[in-house]
Amino acid sequence: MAKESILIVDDDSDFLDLVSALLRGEGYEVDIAKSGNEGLKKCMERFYSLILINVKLPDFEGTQLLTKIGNTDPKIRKVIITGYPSLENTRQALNLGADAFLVKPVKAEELLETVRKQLLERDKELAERYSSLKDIKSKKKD
Amino acid sequence: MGWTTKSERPLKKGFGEERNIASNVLKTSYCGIAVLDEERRFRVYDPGMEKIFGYTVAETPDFETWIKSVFPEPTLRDRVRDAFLVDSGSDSLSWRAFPFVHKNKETRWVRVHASATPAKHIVMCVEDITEFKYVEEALKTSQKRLEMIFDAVAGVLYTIDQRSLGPTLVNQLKKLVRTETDMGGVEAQRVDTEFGVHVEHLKELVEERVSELLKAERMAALGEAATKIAHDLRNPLQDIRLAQYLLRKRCSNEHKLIDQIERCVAYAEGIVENLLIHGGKKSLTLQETDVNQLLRKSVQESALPENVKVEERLTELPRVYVDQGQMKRLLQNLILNAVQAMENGGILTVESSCSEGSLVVSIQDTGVGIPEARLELIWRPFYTTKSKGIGLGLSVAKQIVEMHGGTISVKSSLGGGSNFTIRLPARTSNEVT
Repeated sequence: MAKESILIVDDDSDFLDLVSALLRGEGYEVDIAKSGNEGLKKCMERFYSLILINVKLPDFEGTQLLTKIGNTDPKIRKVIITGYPSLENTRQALNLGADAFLVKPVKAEELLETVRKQLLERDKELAERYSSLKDIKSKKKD
Repeated sequence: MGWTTKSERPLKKGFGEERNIASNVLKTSYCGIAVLDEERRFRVYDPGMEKIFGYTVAETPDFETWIKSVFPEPTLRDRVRDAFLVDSGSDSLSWRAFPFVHKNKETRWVRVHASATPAKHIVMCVEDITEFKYVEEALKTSQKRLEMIFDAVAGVLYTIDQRSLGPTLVNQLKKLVRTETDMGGVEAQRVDTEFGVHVEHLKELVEERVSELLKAERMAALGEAATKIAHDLRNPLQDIRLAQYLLRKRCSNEHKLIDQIERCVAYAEGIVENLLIHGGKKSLTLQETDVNQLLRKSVQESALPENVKVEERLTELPRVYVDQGQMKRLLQNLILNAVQAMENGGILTVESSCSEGSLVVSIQDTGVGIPEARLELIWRPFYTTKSKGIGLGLSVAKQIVEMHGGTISVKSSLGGGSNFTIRLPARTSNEVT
């Protein structure tokens, strides 16, 4: 199976380096973006299974990126990460389509666990889609 | 003012003059003057009487008709009659005030003085004091109102009626006031000479209040800065955590160092979290939790030193809704406190139980203990007797417990260790009440 690809959008270069090393160590393919716009650009060029977005980005709010990426097909898993949580931005993020919300500082194990879970969900979704497609195909045959 | 009928004839001329003067006086005075003879009929009934009572002498020719008309109420009437008897039987100069009913049905007030002459006549002198009464009432109300104001500004104003107390007593009182409140020579200021009111240390109170407000403002500004700093620190702390994890994976032979890094990061995170909870209006994110598991996790992640042994006395608990992050912070604050009290080692006892819908968790140590005098102070934010730490652990713990609707208490004795007990209502649903 092809390696799952993950995009990390954050302006903290240390964070980008470390999370990349962490995820690559687990066998994922990782790309980085230092701003919202760069993130968007990368999304257009390549298809990612999961995006890790920091709420505080230099050009616009990470939550706005959620809307800009929009609903893709198949769905890209979006995880918001922030050092400044509040009930409002949690709710906002979840309303705008985030699948999970992490608060810094998060333990490496927790981060990995969240990524794993999200990708598993995605696999399940894809599997269901595929099986229903198969059903339709087989029905057509008949 | 005795009138006599005995020596009338020889003095007729002089008497006539006197009488003219007298009647002029009678006409111009605001008093009413009357004389009753032995049969208690009005011998003299001057215009003042008519003015005051509204009745002419023809309408009230004698004492009884007069008293019945003017004092219709029987009890009052008896009092007036008694007053007449007493006064007329003595040489007293007392004046008595009575309410009466004017012919025009108006209730007014009159002051009466009666005295007897040697010829057993009664001389009455009456004065309408209705206006005076109003003024007196107004003064009383005003004084009462002032007293209420003084009472409300508790402990600040003292009313000293100089006239009735006399200067010596007043000075002594002033001295007494000064020692009682220990004001250090604040000037007493006379505000209203009429009542002799001294405004003591009102100025000082105002100054105190202003400095309190300034201090609170400064604290709020500091609090804001502290919160911003705390938030910002989360980023480097996150990076250190990630690096430490990677390091642990790659350098399996450097465990001790990496453990140290992890402990320090955890400690720093504790400070950051305590600051944020202290400063913020954090709301609860309730999750169904096994509190015993949370307890065990908190103990594990507290990185206890070698010389501290843990004793677990956990009884089975129902799953309850708590904010896991905050509860963990609360427990770790208490555990850290316990560990710091046991510098030379000891036993940390962690207990949990459930009774009557409340969860009870206690953290006990065998450390130095807290002296009774400080038991109240430990809950204050930034209060600490240690050289390390900012002193937020217990105040934040209390904050978290109270946010969950619970209570926290401490039992401690010097040299006998301390026991912190938390009581939480066992929330079995996600509804926020």
